[in-house]
This record gives sequence, C-alpha cells and structure tokens, in this order.
Amino acid sequence: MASAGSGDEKAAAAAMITLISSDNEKFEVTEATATLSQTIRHMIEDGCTDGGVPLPNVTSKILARVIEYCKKHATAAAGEEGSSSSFSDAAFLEVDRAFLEELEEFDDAFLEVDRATLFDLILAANYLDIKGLLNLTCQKVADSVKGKTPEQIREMYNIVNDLTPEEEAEIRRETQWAFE
Amino acid sequence: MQLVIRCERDKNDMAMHDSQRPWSESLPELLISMICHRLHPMDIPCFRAVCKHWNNSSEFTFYPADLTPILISDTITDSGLLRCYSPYFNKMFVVRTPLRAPGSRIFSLEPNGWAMLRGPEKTVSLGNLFNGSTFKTTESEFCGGYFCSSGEDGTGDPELCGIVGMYATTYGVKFQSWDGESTKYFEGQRSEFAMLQCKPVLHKGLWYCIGERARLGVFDPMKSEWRVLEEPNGFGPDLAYKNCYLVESQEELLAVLTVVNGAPINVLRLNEEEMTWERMESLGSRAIFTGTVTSRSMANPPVAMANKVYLPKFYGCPQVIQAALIVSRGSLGFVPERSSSESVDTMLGSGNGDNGGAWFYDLELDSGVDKQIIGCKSLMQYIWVDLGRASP
Repeated sequence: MASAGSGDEKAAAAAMITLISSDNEKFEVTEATATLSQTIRHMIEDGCTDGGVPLPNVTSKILARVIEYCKKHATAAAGEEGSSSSFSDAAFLEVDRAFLEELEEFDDAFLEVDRATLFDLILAANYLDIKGLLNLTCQKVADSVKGKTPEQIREMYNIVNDLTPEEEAEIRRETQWAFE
Repeated sequence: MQLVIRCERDKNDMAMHDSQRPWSESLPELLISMICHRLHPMDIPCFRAVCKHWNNSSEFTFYPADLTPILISDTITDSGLLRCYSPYFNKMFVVRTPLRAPGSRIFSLEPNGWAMLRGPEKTVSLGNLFNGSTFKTTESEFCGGYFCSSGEDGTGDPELCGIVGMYATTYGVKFQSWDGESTKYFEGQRSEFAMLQCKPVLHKGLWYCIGERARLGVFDPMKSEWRVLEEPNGFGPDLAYKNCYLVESQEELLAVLTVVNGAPINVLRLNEEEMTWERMESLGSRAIFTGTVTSRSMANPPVAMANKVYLPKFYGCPQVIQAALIVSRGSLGFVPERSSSESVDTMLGSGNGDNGGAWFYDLELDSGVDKQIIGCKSLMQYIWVDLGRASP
C-alpha cells in the first residue's frame, strides 16, 4: 500500500488505517489523522500497516479519546496548510484565528477528565509519540500541582510518601527557600 | 525513538495497570521529568518532595537570585560570561550574557538587568544583561572613582536615572553629574577629607562618603553641594580596624569595620541626633553583605543568615554551574543549563560544595572573637548587588 500511495498525495489523503486497541477493538481513521502519531507514521513509511496496526499498550477507551484529539488537530493542521498559501487574505486570517480559539476550547474541554484517564492519555501520547497531546497532558499535570504542598499533591494523586527522613531533609536543604 | 523504547519497557506495567494503582509509580522517569520541566520554578521543590520516584526523576532546579544579595564579578569576560556567587547556595553561577563590554568595569546591576559600566575609553554607559543593549551616558573625567545611579535606592526608574561620579583626590573629592542630557563638573572645597575605598551610599537623598577617621562627606545632587561633616570624628578609641565599609540599612547609616584577617567585625550605627557612631550589639533580623566597594544590607534574609555579616569569602570549593539568569513571576533566578555538569573552568576547581560555605561573622556567637578566617578563599574584584526584593 505504501508503494502504491506514496507518490500520490490524493490517494494518501484518502487512505484509511485500521488501529487495533489492546482489547481488540478496531478503529478506522484517515492517514492524516493517524500520522499525527510519529510512531504510526514510521510504521506507514515502513509499509507494515497492512491488516491494521495493533496497539497493545492502549485500551479502546483511551484510543477513542486519542483519535478524537488527532482528528481535531489533523483538521487544524490541514487548515493551516491551506491558509498559508493565501495568508495575505485578511478574511482567511480571521477564520484562522477563530479556528485556533476553537481548538483551544477543544483542548480545554478535552482535558476535563479524571486523573486516571489523564495518566493513561500521557502514556498513550508518549507511546504513540504525539507531541501536541503529550505537551498538553503534561502541562495539565504541571498546572494541577501549582502552589500545592507535597502533602496536598500526594493526596491529590494518591501517592504514598516513600522518602526517607534523610532524603526529605536533603531536598529541604537544597530548596529551603521554597519552604520558608 | 527513545520515548518508544522506554514505553516498551513499561509494557508489563501497563498490562497490570488498573485505576486503583497510584500513577506516580507507573509514569516512567522520562515523563515525570517532562512534567517537572513544565512546572513553575517555585513549584519544583514541592514536586520533588512528593515521593522517591518523583524526586529521582526531577533534575531541573531553580536557584532564586533574590534571596540574598549576590556577588558578581565586576567585569564580563570577552565571551560574555558573568560570574555570580550566591552565599545562600554557596554556588558560583556562570551566566552567559549577550552584553559585550570588553575592558569595562561594572559599578552596579539592577534587577531589571541594567548594569552601569565604565569602558576603557572612560565612557560611562548602561548595558542590559538580558538583551545586550547599551547606551552611552557621560564621559568619566578621571580613571578612578565611583559611578552611582540616582535610582539606586530603588525609588527611581533606572532607565531614566541621573548619574553621579565621585573621585577621591589628594585634597578632597571631585564630582560630575549627568542628568540625562548634559554633564556638570564641580570640585569639593579643598579639605582634608580622604575618601576610603568604598562606594558612596545614597541616604535620604544625599550621597554619603566615608573617609579616614570615620569622617563623613555629603554630596547633595540637587544643589550640587559638597561638605565634610565636623562630626562624627572617629569610631571610638577601642576599635582597631583595617577596612571600613559604609552601608545604608533601613533608613540608617551603618559602618562595618573589619580587621586584617576579617574578624572580629564591628558594626556601628550613625546616631544622627548626636552625630556619633554607636557600636551595635545586634543586627536583629538584618544581614549585611560587605567587604567589596559596594555593600548591601537585607532586612529579612533567610532566617539562618540573620544577625550576620558576610564578606566575599567562602570555605571549600563551591560548585560552579553554568546557568541562565531568568525572570520568573517577576523574580530572578539561576537555572542550570542542560550540559552544565562539567565545570566551565578550573578557577575554583569543580567542587561539590561539601564542607564548604560562605564565610560569615555572627554578631551574637562570634562577638569579639578572632574568628578563624584561614582556609577561606576570597573573591577579589567582585561587588554585591541586589537582584530582587531589595530591602535596604
């Protein structure tokens, strides 16, 4: 398929890829959507996507969310390419801006998930090598601990403090300024 | 590709994963590190203190530059490096700046990055450490002397400041003042005032210079008037000293007296009613940073530094870290550069900071004691600057 489609962009755009989740659910997506994942892009380039792409690390629940993200952002990427050729057109810029705002809103809503799901999204984004999604989800966690004490963070994420008193003292010694 | 490999390794983890499992452990080191890099510097210490795994995965550190005054080298190297020693962290940060000032001497540095410099051609200019921009102000009349900005007490806009130059001569003091447009020159009346190696200090709108025999000279920049005060005259008969440094601290003028070996140190306060120097038993919560041509006082330093006098001296070998000076939420801090594990030079060796620390004189514990100063290294040609919550 790779040899047939690689030279023909229209054919490539229309090409569909089947993704198979860890629990064996199949998802049909366009190549444009799938190639937001560098991991899948490499598989396509290597021509090993026939018969579907098994993703043993990703559950169907998470894969569905990831695909939702990729679909939205693949459209955005296509929109950007389309408008760049006519960037002098003010109307196009206006459309672009509106679209970027919409994308931000989408991202915000997308991140309204429980912590376990957020965690799975990070792992999936990492495994599938989707930079935008990885950035987005890691930033979400970073934002969530803002201004929190270690105790509050542990409670929030159900983490057991396994630091020895010596290790805790060492961290405090190095970063005393933050605790004063 | 590394990302994928890491994840493959965690495949077993994933298979076992269920929502009950604390995710702190399942997130690979690399991902914890990625999250850590997105944190605000102020949040990193708490993030690290959550658990072992998070602590081990977070190598990114932020060292605030505004906890205490910082000692900076008074020159920038030809390749644009400025050395900054923090007595709090006992670390030497080597900061790269786009500012190029070959052969120039730094007189001051403000938290907004503006440094006052005098070039080899006697040009006095302001240069910005962050973006490298410079603008010339006035010409220095002589080679020696000190240049001060009228915004030094934190009340003026450093970019709109006036500049006062002061030179000690054999028979008095000469001045020049630049108001943004033109330079005026004047000479203090012939007097026996011998100005010490100490930058003049702005106190209640007037520039105070300390001279021999504890004399004070005062320059009024508004009236362009200079006078040498009759009193005080001497610190007192029992106080032997080698060097004397003038410091403004919480609306008070302080003189710090050091002996040849540094200690014992005496701090005296100017009683402005009696016009006498009074020895202080305690600085309270204050700390003083002196021993260079500039001195700083801090009203509320980190608790352990209260009631202490710091000189540009330290024990051991402070770690030398190549770092960027960044602004974060309005305050400055040093962030180690990625490949900074190797020491940038061997001037200080590549110490790990163990058994070392900034030298200080504790007014409570060391009072009157000839505190061991042997084994200390001194930072010559450094000046103290305030890079943040300036509280004179």
